[in-house]
Amino acid sequence: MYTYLNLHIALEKLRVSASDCPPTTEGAQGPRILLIGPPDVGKTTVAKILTGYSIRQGRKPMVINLDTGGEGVLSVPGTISAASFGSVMDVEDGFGNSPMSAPSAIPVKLPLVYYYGLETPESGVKRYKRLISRMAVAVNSRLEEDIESKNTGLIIDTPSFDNQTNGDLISYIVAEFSITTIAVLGSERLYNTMLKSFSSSSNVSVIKLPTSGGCVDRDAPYKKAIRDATVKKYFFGDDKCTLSPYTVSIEFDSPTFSFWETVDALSSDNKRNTSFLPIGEDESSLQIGEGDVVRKLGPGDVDSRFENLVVAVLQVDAKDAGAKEVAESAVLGFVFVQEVDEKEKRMKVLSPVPGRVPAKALLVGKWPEGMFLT
Amino acid sequence: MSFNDEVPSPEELAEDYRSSLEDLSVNSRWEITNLTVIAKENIHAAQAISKVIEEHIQKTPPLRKLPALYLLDSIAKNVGTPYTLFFGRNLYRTFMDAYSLVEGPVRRKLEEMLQTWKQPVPGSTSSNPLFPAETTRKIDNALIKARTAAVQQQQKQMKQDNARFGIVQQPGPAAVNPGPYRSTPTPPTNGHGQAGPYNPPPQNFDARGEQSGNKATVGSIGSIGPNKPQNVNTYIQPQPTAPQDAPPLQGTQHSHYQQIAAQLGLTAPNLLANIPTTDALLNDIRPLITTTQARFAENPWDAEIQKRLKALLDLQTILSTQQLPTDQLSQIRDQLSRIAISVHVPAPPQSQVHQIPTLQAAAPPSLNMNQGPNLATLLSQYSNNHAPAANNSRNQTPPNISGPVPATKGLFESLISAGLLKASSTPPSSSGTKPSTPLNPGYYQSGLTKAPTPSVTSAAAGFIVHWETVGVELNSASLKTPRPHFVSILNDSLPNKCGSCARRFTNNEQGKKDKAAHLDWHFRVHQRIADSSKHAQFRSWYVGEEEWIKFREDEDDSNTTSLGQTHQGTDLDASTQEASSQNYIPAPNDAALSSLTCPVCKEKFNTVWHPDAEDWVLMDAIQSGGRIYHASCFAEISKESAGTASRGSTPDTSISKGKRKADQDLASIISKIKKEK
Repeated sequence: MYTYLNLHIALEKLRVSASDCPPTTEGAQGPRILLIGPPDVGKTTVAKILTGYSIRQGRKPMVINLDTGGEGVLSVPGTISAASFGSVMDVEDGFGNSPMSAPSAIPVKLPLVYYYGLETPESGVKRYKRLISRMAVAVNSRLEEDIESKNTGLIIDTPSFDNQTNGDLISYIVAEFSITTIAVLGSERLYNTMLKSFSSSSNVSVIKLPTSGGCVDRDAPYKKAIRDATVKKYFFGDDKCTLSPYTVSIEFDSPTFSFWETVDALSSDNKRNTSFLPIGEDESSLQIGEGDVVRKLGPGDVDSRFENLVVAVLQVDAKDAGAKEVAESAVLGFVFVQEVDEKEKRMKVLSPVPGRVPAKALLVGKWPEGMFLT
Repeated sequence: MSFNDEVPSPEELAEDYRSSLEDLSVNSRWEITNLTVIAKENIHAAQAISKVIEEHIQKTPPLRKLPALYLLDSIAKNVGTPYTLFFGRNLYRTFMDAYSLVEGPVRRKLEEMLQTWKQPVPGSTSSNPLFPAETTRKIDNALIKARTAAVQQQQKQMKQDNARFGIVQQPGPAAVNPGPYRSTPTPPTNGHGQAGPYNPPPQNFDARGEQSGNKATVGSIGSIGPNKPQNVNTYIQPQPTAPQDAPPLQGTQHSHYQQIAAQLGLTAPNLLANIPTTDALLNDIRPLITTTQARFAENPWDAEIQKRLKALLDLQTILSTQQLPTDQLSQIRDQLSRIAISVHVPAPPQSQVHQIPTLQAAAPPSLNMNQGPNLATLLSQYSNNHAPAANNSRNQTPPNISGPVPATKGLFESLISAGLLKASSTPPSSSGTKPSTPLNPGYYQSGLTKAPTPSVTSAAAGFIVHWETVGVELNSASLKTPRPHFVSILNDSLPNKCGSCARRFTNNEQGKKDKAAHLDWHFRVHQRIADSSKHAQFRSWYVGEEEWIKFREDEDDSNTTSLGQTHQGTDLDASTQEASSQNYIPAPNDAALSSLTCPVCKEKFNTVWHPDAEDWVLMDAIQSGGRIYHASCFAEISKESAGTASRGSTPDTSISKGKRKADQDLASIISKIKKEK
């Protein structure tokens, strides 16, 4: 624990010197720390600790969650999100709540959310990178305007990077977010790899942190339960504040919505699409281009496999949704598909906000996997 | 309990019993009786049940051990054999394991219970003791051994610590936990003299009597440790300095002191003799020094202890080198006896920052460390940086700050300033010039650790951290060094904490204003939470990139408009700011009406949360003849002069944006978040 305190004080020292610099200069940039390591070493926990400490000192850290496999920050699993933490966190509630209509004793935090829809970055590394770039642009523009956040810097939580293949992705994140400190948790090997790869760059320091004291390996069912609970919390709130989602009906053959699906590059589905099609079928319509990261779904593609999935309602309007826009759009919210009526071309969805679901592009992912919400 | 016809197997019974034991958390007669009866009814499973109980006693947290042991006691007394046989086998282990983990008062209860085990069960015909004498004797012996071992251990510990003084102390867990005592069954801090309620001894250490909350907190970090005082609060008022006041060895204090003195190995006659001799005093000082050194080893940052240790060492030097008049000797003796008490008892936590008279305590900042202490630079540094209030505390350092003390006069001054002697005592004619021993120079000059005391200042304006002196770097080696004083930086940089949540503020005017506004916010939120149960609540949509970039969550905590305006008045700000001054009507609760449109422009109304009305309202709306219009539309059609409540005063961009976009509740979310913050 004292290591984390030391780390915080070291970061705080950098923040103090950043605050002393004129706002527009390079020096006003606070420390930007990236937490990496194998699964279950406490990356998110350290992120929470560092966030809590800096809030306690009156700072305003920007917390960025890139871990799509975890439980999400102020959002559902499968997303990456960024939020400025300028007010206290709830000790019982992790990173807290995103805005609700209800008043909250712990101030809510407004996140910027992107839906990735797959568990690991490897599954769709192209789109993952595009989302990261997009988010980095938004984060950097915000920091330019918000000097307090700029002085405080970033705290970035990541998916489990425990092998060599992620090196490229880590470098990418470091470059996009102008990371100044890479903290490696619980893996000597990863630490040495990082030391080697960033030894040449003078403005990135690599440090090693011990594994959090209470870390245990969480088994798959437990993680799944946590993910389900997160989704449930998004729609239904928690003990302190019960939320009432609304069941609404969506006609999926109407032009009001356009349905999209994330493409899992590692999945065998894509290959099957071309090889198992009946002869004479127009392959080109289904063929996945090399650069495609999302795929448009016709009304016929929507079927009962969507049931019990979380679908992202994107910010981009349905009418001007192209593959590029959909691939990079931020998220407006999520709906949960309760029932699909293939004959009537309708589906019942649980929408967090009363009224119609806005006429936006809807993006269906494979992650978080199907679940039952009561 | 199973409802099967067959008799449940001992394993099942044991399992049931185990789960009932989990619920035994307080000393409840009813539950214990109940469990005893169950044990009695299932005597065939005695072995399994007694095993379960033993395991439970071993595993359960210390607070629950007493009821569990009472249960064992109850079963042994009420049921008897075969339980006593089974318990007797492991009684020593069961008892001692529990004993070593519980607090002092509980220990006494355990000892009382042990006494009853040596006697026959009341009302029984047998004259045999409850448990065989050899079993209880073993425990008795162990307890006695533990007590003596604890004292010895303490002494040994001191010697070791003395030996280690030159090297770097590794604080952290070893210092914070009673680690070294783990090997002995009883931690020595809870000896018998200590177990009962404790009367705080006279404390004169802070003659100036200046106190403040945050200072006390700073001080308290030093006293985290096995000896954490239980009655912190009683220390808060320093005893008024009454020279020549009543001799301290009287009444309860007297007997208390005798106990302590006995534990410290002091001989009572020495202390109580009317005419103290130098030798006797030296004898008295020696154990005090060792105790203080041990204390110091545990809390290297506790300036109070450092100071006291130094003063004691100096005193020892004086006494061994020169002859002092009798009245001074008796004064010293009186003072020593007080110290004997206060040393034995943890140092008061109110000490450090503002009363650091010696340089060692003043903790040279890391920059100065290698060139050794240099008071002048230190003081000038502080006075340059900070308000006089900061110096106030620092400047009162006694004159003999750095290095050797030339004369006994100086020594007495240092003793006085350390609170070890009263100011009224006349300094003796000085003759000896033996230099005082520097506390432990190696400790500070070691390049490995930085100055152990945080270089922080409690100024009137608040807590100021000298960041240039904080010696932690962003590299793996530097991060590994424990620095417990960082906790104070963490907590005290914003000392003014909100009572309702974890939010913190500075101690200055701005901080007070912010806190007042924050408390108002708490009040409003509290009211709204109470109200909110009437409405169905829902999660809001997220915002898009543009809005997110412009959004500032802490923009408006105080309802001051100045902050909002400094942020270049984005259109969102504008809309909410303007909107609040406009007409509004409460939003209809009827769902059918929620998609209401204005009959004039056929556009929807903007539903937002209105902080003054404490309700959801339709902004820019006016009700006339049972229909709801936009105030501005209504103004137009009724040909009124577009002066007052007109739509013209609202920037068109915000209205059209707010109304036409499908995510029309965005503005409401934002305004709501701002109000909520």
